[in-house]
Formats: sequence, structure tokens, C-alpha cells
Amino acid sequence: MVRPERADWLDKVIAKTVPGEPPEPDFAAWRRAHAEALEALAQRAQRKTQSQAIAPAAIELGRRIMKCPISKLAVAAILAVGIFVLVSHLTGRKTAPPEAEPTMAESAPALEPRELDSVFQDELAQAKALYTQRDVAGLLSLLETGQYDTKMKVAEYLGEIGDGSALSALQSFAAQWQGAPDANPFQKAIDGIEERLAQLQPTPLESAEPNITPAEPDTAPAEPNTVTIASSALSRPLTGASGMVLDKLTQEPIAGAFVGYRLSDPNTSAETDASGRFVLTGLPPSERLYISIIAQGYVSKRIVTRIVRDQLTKGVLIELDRGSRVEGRVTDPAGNPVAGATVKTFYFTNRPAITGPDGHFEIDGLSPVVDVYSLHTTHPDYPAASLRFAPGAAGQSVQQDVVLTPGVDVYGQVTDPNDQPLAGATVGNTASKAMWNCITSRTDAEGWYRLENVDVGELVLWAVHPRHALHVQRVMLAQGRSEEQIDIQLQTPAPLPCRVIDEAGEPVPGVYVVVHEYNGVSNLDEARYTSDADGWFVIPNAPSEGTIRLNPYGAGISGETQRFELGQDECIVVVRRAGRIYGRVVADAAGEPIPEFTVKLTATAVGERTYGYRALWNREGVTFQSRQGLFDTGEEDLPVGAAFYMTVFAQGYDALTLDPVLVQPISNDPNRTEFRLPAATLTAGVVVDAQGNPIEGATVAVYAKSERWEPTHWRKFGADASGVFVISGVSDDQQYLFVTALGFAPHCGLRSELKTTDSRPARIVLEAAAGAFGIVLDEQGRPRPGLRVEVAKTRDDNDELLDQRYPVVRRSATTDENGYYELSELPVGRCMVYLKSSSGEDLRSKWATFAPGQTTEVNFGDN
Amino acid sequence: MVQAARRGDAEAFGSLYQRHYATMVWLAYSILLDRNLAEDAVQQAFVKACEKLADLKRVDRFSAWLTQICRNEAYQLARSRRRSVPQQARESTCVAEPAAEGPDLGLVKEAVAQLAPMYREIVVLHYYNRMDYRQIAQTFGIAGHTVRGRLFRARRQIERTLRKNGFPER
Repeated sequence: MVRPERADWLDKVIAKTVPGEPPEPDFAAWRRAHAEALEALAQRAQRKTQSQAIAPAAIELGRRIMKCPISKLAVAAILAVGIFVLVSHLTGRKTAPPEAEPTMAESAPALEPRELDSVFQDELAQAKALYTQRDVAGLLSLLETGQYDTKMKVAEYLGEIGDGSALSALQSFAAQWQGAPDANPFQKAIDGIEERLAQLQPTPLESAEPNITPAEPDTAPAEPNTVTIASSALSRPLTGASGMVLDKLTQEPIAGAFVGYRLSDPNTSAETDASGRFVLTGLPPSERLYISIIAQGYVSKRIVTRIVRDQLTKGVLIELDRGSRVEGRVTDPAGNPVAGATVKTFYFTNRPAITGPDGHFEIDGLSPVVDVYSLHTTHPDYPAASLRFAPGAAGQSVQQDVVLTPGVDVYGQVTDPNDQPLAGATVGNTASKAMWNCITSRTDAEGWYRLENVDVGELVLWAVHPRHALHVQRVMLAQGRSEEQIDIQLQTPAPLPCRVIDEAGEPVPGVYVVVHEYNGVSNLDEARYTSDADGWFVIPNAPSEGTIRLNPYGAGISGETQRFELGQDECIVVVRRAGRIYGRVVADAAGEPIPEFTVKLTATAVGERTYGYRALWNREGVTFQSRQGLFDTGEEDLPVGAAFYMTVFAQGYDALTLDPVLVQPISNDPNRTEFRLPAATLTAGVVVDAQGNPIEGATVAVYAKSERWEPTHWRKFGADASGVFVISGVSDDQQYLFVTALGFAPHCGLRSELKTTDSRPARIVLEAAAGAFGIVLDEQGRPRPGLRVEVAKTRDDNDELLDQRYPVVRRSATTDENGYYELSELPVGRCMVYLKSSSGEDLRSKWATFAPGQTTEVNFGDN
Repeated sequence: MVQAARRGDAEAFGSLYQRHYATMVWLAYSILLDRNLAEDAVQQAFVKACEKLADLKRVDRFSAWLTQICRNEAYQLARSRRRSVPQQARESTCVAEPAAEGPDLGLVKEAVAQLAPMYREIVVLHYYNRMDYRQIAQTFGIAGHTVRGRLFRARRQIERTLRKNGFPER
């Protein structure tokens, strides 16, 4: 007999060895044999009941004593003396000796090395060393690459150091924390940093020279929108913000909106009252504090505001766009509901939904103009599932079901080249250790690892051990098996000497380098190397073949990842020196500096594109306050000579975009790029239907060529009850219009359409939206439920210019149990109709032409 | 039900007995490797539980509490057997029962018997009493992933022992 290769053979043979019949309880027999035991139970229970009856009287007596202040003090004194005597007795001395002043390293939070495995121990030692050296960059790197326990410890260190540059990294981890809100180590670190920054912040005074870094903008002595208040109830003034939440379209107040710093903390959140007003207190002082706003039926939003200690920042005005929803069911492949699954969109303001017993979930607050959302579903008994869906129009709900498929438990033994088991190796399953669904496992003393609930299909299996070559392999996991054994043999490494030089060929010491990627898997190795005085460092666990991508970083340099073929004698890492963009913002007419403005930055549209800056720059932008109208890009480490696309916004002015804007060497007397903002121009228009009736609530979006794929960056304006809208404050390059309204097909056009020869506003005519319906059948003519039918329009039918600037419009629906689907709110003209699997994989597609106000039949598999 | 039994309700205690009996027998078996001895140990364990139930503070931990009593009783019985039974006789009693199903299954039983008690009790409850991870975790008052981990290691150990003994190639 040959040992069967099926994974469950062991289960079967063990189950066959059951000795005898199942045990059968016979309580009557036991009771007869042990009547005294039951008797004892009854007696003890009775005594307990009697003793418990005494307790209320004792409690009442205690309460009476504690009501009297004098007796309360007496009891406290007796307790204190009692504790003192007890401590003295236990310690054997009357007072504790004075403790030695701790050193910086000693004052770090204590470690418990006995409980830690070797790699974790190494990481902690590294973190402690970095903390001792106050190496924030190093700690941030470890925060990204370390194990989760290490990350928590690193967060603690960062909180103690109190450097503001760590805030953005910590905020992303804090947002992902799934434990008790009070125990969030990343949030604690943020609070610690913000508190420290607030302490360091001098009393607001007019500074002689403006502070031009974004982290520390210069501050006017008394800002018009901040006020110091003294609370009558509290001994110290409040720190926070107050304002109003409005419907952007109607300017009506929104009652019951959630406004908060942390989604789960009632102390830093508030609800708007009937007039849409809120007062948010208990906020940590910060130059840039993120506040989330969530309201039923509206697009969730996050704003950045400045919070000053003991001041209430007043007049924060928040306008919300009407939003859409996604809802559906999470089921297993047999259609049974999966309860307790966490479903969320990867968007910072949407709360995750937990499925109930029926597997149903609903997420509100989606933006109708976002092209595609990712929907991530996790459950302890299934592999994580991710799919993409197009949100519906404002006020609509998109149905998106999720099917969780059972995974495979992958296990095996990791050995060295001599077949000896390797303990402490890290094994993972995704193309990046930083991915949200990455599962990792560390090998035990006998080299065994186990990855539970791994997705079937291609598995990217990687293993890292500090003394052996990095390992990546790809295997196919078949469906229908619950376990798969994959042993891994690590190879002898080929240590790789590397040298860091600048563009002039000079060695650059002190540069940190990490292995960003090996054979297509990124962030797998947590080790970090530092270039020596001659720019050299060695990667001890480099494999002898394959490709490796290195990421250099550090103060004063702007590193980009660089790819190398392995098997060479050495590799040369070229870094660029870091610089800044220096700017000055003035009014075009008078040349006077503009004291408050917002700067957005993104990759240039002309020439080589450079990335690596914080998302804040191209998402919300960075707001500066400077009486001289000065700003710079601070510690972004942009490479000298790189070009960027930069837009400046200011109240009362049209936005101005300059591209390219060049990064200059760091200087005390830089040659500043001047942004001359023209006074705001107002352009009006009216949105009407085909019969000339005004369309209330139409949204007019204005965007630039470079913003075609980024609808969150568009400037949006609403049409009033007369269909009239007014555009202002947009930049010259925002030349494209995209007009949408519920029940109408979107209109794409040029801003020049709004220019008229007479004084009457230009008219934009919207056609009625189209619809579609149909059936999806398989090859045998059977209905295909649960598939997604998606209609997408990505180009204009006639205009060549618009053809290249047309934004993506998608609408999708899921087929029901009979294979039917229906779609409304479709664009008119020629569109592509896709048939997709529930996970978003393209199955088929065909062109279809939709007419205004008409519903067209589009079937799949009916021929 | 635990609350009612704690108040001296014999019927409620009877229900607890019915519910936990089989699990406790298999748990005791995992220590004693003898069905008769296991049932004796469990009888005694319920006596102890009955006597001390009124003192149980956390009724939600009843299963874990009963489990520990049962383990103690089984070990107590094992120790007393060791004192009273000669070495040769003990081996024939405490190692697997006669392999009536054939030599292969006898090897499997031996492999199970060679596991450390911590692993053996999980294997016995999972395969013999057909309890899943969650049920075992609930009974023992430990985390589900701990049970999974122990079961994983136990299976690996059994597999290795079987391979070493040439199972089942012949």
C-alpha cells in the first residue's frame, strides 16, 4: 500500500482509531452513587444565599458612612495608613530609596526579551537603538517594515520623541487599529507628539521672518477665525473647533451629521444640531488636524484644520455633496449568509460594516464621481476578498454581493541548504508584505510554518531569514483542498557590496537603504543598511540570481528605488540631493502678498514625472499663512531639478497653476517662483433639460487635463432652483466641464461654452439618461446569477478634443437568480458593456449605443 | 443552567452532567489511555465539581473549570495506578489498546499515545469526540488559534512518528 497523498489521509486514519463506543452519560446512576455530593451542593448553596443576603445591609451601612464627608476622610486616612504599613512590611524598609536618574535609553519603555523571539528581539533592539539616537527616519522605516508588535513599540518611541514628521505615518496606522480605541498605540503616539508640539509652540507673535516650511507655517498673532474662550464649567479654556455643516447644493444645514477627530471616540466627536452647527472640543492642538464628517446620504469628507491650544477655531464651514450607497450580502459559495464579515471601502472616512445573521451590509457616504471603489471583505474563516465596483449616482444604491470562498491552509518546513530546519524564518503569501491581506508566519523551532486561509489560485510564497538568501516562489493552489504542504529550502546567500554615490559621482555616507523588492515581491525584508564614509554597504542575504530593487533614503537626499540584476560583483546606487520648491503668492493686480493660501502639488504633465511626496499635497493641499505670501515644500525630500505641477488657491482669487515648477537646492536666499493670482472671475450658466426647463441640483464640475482621472480634485458647483450656477476661483487650465444631474445623461464639454456674446448666461442642455436591461445565460442557456454587468463610457462620440478628455462614467448591476439585470442613469451614445465575475474579472464585452430616455436590451449568451 | 445548579438545583446539575460527560471522558482518556479508568475519573470529577460548584465565581468559565477538575482527577488516578501497577503491566495498560483493526491502526494509536498530553487531549477531543476548534477552545477556555496551532503540531508529530515507523508503506 502506498501512502495516499491526499491531505486528509491522516485525519481519516486517526479517526479510525476511536476506542469503543461514544461515552453515554447516566446521571441517574451517578446520582444514586453520589447522593451525598448533591446534598453537599444544596447545603453550600443555601449558606451562600444567606451570606449574600447580609451583603446588602453591609453595603447600605457603607453608603451611609461614605455620605458624611468627615467619615469619608477618616476612612481614606485609615486606608492610606494601612497601605503604607503593608508596603513597609512587605519591602522591609520604611521608605523606598531614591531611584537613580534614568538614562535616555533606560527611560525607554521596558522590554521583555524572554517572551520575544529572536527576530522580534532584533527589531526591538534596533528600535531601541534608533530611539536612543533620536533617529526618527530610522524609526519610521521600522514602522513600515517591522512586525506588528514592533510597529506598536516604534509608535511608542515616536510618541516619546515627539517629532511632527511622524504624524502622517502614524495616522494611517491609527486608522487601521482594530482593538479597543483607548488602547490604540498609534493614536497614543499621535497624541503624545501633538501634545509635545503644542508645548514647544511659542506664544503666537508676529515673527520677523516668515516660517516657510509647511510643518511650521508662520502664525499671525490673533487670527480672525480663532478666539480664546473661557468655559464657565471648566477651569481652562476649550481646545477645539466649531462651525456648520451644509448641503453643498442647497446650502441647507445638515442636522445629525457626525463631526469628529476619531471615528470611535465620543470625546473628540460631535453631532450637528438642527441648524447644522457643531462644537468640537477635546481636540489635540495641531497645525493640520484631520476631521471627518459623515452624514446619512452625503459623501463622507475629511478636512484639515488648524487647532490651537486653549482656543476654539470658529466658523469652520463644511459643505457636503450628495452621496450614494453600496449594499449587498456576503455569502459562501453555496449561498449561505456569512455573518460577522467586515466589509469596507478603502476610503478614509467610511466606517466599515459588519454583516448580520443574514449576511447583509450597507455602506453609505460614497462619492458618485469616484470612478471605482475597492470593496474589501474579511472574515476569520475565509481568505480576504477584494472587488471593485462603480458607485451609483447621488441618492442611489448599488447592489454588490460578495462571495467568500474557502481557502487553503498552506504549511511546510523551511530548511537550510544542508536540510536542517530553520527557526525564525518569516514566510508570507502576497506580492508585498505591506498589502492589506498579507498573511505571514514565523517558523517554529523545527522550521515549520503555517499560513491559514490562503486564497486559491496563484500563491506568491516568499521566505526571509537573515542568514540565508531571500526566497520567492510561485505555486498554483488548487480548489477543493483544505491543506497544502509546501516545503521551502533556502539557499546560501551571495553577499552583495553596494555603493551610494550622488550624481557627481561622489560617495554619500549615512544613506539608509532597504531591499524594496526581490523577484517581484516588495517589502519582504525588514533589514536596513547604512552607507559608510565611502558610501559602501553590504547586503548579506542577497540571492545569487534574480532582480532586486533597492530604496535609498535619508536626510538631504532624495532617493528613488533602483533595480539591479543579481550575480554582479557590486552595485552602484545613485541618489539625488534633496531640495525644495520655494514660492511667493501675490495678487496679480497690485502685487501685494496674499497672506493665506493653499498649495497643491502633483507630478508634472510635461517631462519626467517624480513621485514620493505625501498624499496631502495632491489631495487636500497644504494651507500656508504668511504675511509675505511665502511658502516652501519643507521636508518633502524632493530631488533638486525635478519638475512639478503646482496650483495655488486663495479666497477671492482665481486659482493659478504653473507647470513645470522646479525644485531648487536648499538655500537661505532662494530664487522664489512667483504665483500671481488674478482676482476671482465669475462665470455663470444655466442647466436645462431638452424642453428648456431648469434642472435644480445639477452638479457642474470643472477640471484640468491632468485631473481627468482624479475626480476628487475637480472643482464642483451646484445649480440652484433656476438651474443657475456660478463658477469662480478655478485655474486657467481647468478647461473642461462635466455636468451631471439625477435622471439625466452626463454632459462633457469645454469651459469656453460658457462664454456668451450677450449678457445672458450660457445654457447647458442635458439629455434624459438612458437605461439598459437584459439576461445573462451560460452556454447551455441557463441563467447566470451573481455576475456584474457594467456600462462604461470613456470617450466622446464626436469631438476629438473631448474624446481625449472625457472622464470615465460607469454604472453597474448584478444579475439576479434568473440572470436578469437592469441599469438606469446611463450615459447616451456609444458605450462598452462589460460582463464581469463577482470579483470584477472581465468575462465578455460588447459595444452598445444608448438613446436619451430609452431603455435598450443588451443580453449575453442568448444566441 | 450553571447558575441554577450553583443554587443547588439537582436537575440543572444533571443537565450539565449530560452535556459535558462525553467530553470529560475523552479528556480523561487522553491522559489515562484507558476507557474504564477514564470513566472512573470522570465520575469522581463530577463529585468534586458538585461539591465545589457553589464556590464557582465565574459561571461563564464552568467548562474550563470542570475541565481542570477532570484533568486533576485523571492525573491523580494515573499516579495511583503507577504506584500500584508493576512496570510491565502498566505498559500494556496505558499504551494503546490492542490493535484489533490491524497493525497500521495500532501504529497510529501508538503515535497518538506518544504525544505530549497537551497535544493528545486536543487530538482525542477533535477526532474521537468530533469537536471543532471552537468547541474545544470554548471547553478549555483558550483561544481558537491556540487549539489550531496545537492540533497542527500534533498532526505533524503523528505524521513524523508514522513515517519513522514505515507507515503505511509496506
